Amino acid sequence: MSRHRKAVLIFGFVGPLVIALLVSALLLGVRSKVFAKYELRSKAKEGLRVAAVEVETVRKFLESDGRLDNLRNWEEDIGKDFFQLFSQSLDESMSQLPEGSLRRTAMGQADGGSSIGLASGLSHSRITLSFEGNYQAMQSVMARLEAKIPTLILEDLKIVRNPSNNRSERNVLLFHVTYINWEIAESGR
Amino acid sequence: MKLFPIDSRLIKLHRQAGRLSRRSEGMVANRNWYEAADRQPLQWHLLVSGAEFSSYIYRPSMDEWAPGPAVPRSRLEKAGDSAGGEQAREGAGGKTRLSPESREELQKVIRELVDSIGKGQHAGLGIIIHVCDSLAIRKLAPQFEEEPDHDSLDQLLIEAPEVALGDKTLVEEATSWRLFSEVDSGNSGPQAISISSRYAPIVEEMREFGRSLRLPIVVEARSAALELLGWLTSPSENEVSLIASHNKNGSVLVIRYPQQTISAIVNQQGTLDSLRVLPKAIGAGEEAPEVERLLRNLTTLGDHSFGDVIFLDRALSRKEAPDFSSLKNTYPEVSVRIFDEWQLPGALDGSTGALFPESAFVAAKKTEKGSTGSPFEAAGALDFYCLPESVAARIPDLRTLKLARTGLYFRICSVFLFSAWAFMIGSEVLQKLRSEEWQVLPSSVDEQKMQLEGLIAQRNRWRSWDDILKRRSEGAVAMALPLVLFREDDGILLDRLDYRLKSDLIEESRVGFVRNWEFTGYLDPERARDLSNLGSERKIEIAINNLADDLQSFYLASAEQTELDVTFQQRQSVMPVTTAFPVEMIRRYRAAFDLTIRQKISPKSENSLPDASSR
Repeated sequence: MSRHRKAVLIFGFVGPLVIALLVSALLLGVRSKVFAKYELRSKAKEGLRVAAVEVETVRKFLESDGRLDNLRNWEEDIGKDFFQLFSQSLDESMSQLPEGSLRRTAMGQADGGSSIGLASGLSHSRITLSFEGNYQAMQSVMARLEAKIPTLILEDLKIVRNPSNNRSERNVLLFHVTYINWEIAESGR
Repeated sequence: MKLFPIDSRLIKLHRQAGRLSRRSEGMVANRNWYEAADRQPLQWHLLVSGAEFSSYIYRPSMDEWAPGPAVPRSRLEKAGDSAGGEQAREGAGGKTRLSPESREELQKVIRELVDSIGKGQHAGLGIIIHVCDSLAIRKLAPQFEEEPDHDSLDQLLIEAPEVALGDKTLVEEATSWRLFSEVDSGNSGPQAISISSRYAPIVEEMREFGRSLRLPIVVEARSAALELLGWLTSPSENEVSLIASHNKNGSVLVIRYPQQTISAIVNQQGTLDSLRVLPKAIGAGEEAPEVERLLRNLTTLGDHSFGDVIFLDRALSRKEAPDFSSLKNTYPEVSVRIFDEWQLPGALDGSTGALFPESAFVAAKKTEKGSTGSPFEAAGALDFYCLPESVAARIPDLRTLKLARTGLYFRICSVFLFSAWAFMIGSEVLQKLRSEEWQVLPSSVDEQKMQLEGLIAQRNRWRSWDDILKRRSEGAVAMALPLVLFREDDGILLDRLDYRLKSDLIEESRVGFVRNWEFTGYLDPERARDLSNLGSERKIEIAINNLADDLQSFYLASAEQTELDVTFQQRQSVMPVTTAFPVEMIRRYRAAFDLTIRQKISPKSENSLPDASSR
């Protein structure tokens, strides 16, 4: 074969064909990549749409009835010393009572285990208190305390008359209260 | 139009083939680029003999000869004459070029001829220079005498005759050599023949001008004597031919030109036994002995006798015919026939309009479809100024050019189809790139998912804690129950209240529990008449439900998964004496009671407590 014909065959047919094949492969490669990416993004878009709906649903759920605020309030107490918080809340509640209507006589960590605390396995602490005073004052203090500290659950309450023979103190009652505190800081997160 | 050497880079050769194949170059469209000069539709024949030349035009389609355009002789002479003043030599024995004036004159003549045929796919001009004056014959160098490859030998003669002939002085000579292989003497191989190359610059100029016009101008230089021999020995109906080729004893042909005499012995088989050139025109008078000697030599060369001596006078009647009388005396059986050029029979008798004897060879080739059938045909058509193979190879053949053109169409079609396809692909890709989907970054989905996960985690935390922190046991509510069960002045003195929250069953991660109230106190039997209420589960349940409603503490109310158990016990007992109560009062409360209310919440109840494993 003459060099002229060889040149024409190589550069006129084979070369362009090879170039066309290479460019085709490149184009198909790009197309394939773009399509694959498009498929991913298409799925991502659908995922985004679904996720947006879910986000909106969950957000509405959390924002309704102050749930999110509740959760924030609960979680705000993380790291706070419960006994200090409890003591502070108790003092605030008692400060609103008429003078001499109720007196705290003891406060401390309860001994022994809690029946329901242990049964549930939930992290908790127990606090026990003793008061001396009238019934309504005690009830009022407990109502305020429980409203302030929603993690409290009443485990034990004993009310007895003051054994004193003094007639003026016959309506003074002795209260022994044991609260369980569910520990959000430890187990709630 | 510059042509690259055959060993140039392939890409250059491809570009060149593409350029040549394009319609503007016309090499593919016009087949005449690849045809010989005597196949062109218009032919210009120049008969050159010494300083004289004649010009003729031939149109094969009409088989019509006509006088050609006048070419200034001086220009031609000076251009071709090695001693001429206008030419510039390029190396010893090398190429010469025409002076600008001569070139202009020549181009003007050619342009007029070209204008007469117009342009187009069938245009073409053949120029044949019939050289009458410089035929020479030589033996090849001994090492090439037995060379079987005649084509290679021919090329060697064209490109390096000094090698093929073993004569270095040839480098200085302005001659153009070809291989002459028609001699069938039996004891010698092919020989080399030549004509002067002094017309080569003109030929090159003509070719170059044709290329510049992009018109096939095919130029050849032939030996007029060989052409004439070719025609005379062709098996046609002309008288000379019959004598030459069919005499049973063979014939001697003697052709006299003004500058030389050519003699040839044709044997009984019609092939050439011997060809000789006498470098002058033999004539009568003092030259007769030389003529006789020539003829004697001719007769003794071959080991045979011959019947005819045909003397053709192409000396334009300037000399008298030689005296053959002594020859006839010596060889009485020999018939000597003498013709001048216009006495030749057949095509030269003026009936076809032929203007010179050699034209018969050209016309015969045309009329016999390219072949005269003469043993001298190939020699007669030899182009002494042909391009060396190394140069001719620079021009791609027609098939290659057609291939290049097909390649061009192939590429154009491919580019078109490929572009359409690529456009389609590109459009698809662009459509995808411009789509809304493409704007969505996977990271935004991740962000959204992270946000969702965060919110779901918050919701789960809230649900978990909301479940744990549900109101189940409150001091204020626990203390409210005795207030609805016992009223002032109902004859009941409550002495002790014991409330306790205790765990019960655990099922499916839920902890059931019990709210337990224990009341202890004293009764005034005379006033405490509704004791049945305290012992009634139904009435206690109603009381608890009412309390739950009043305090909005619905967890306290009875429900499907809630059990209530009430125990009331009354017994005789006296209040201990104390100063806290008056004696009358102590006397009135002479019975004691124990009331136990046990509210059991099943693990299946929604009010049950989750255990740690459910978190």
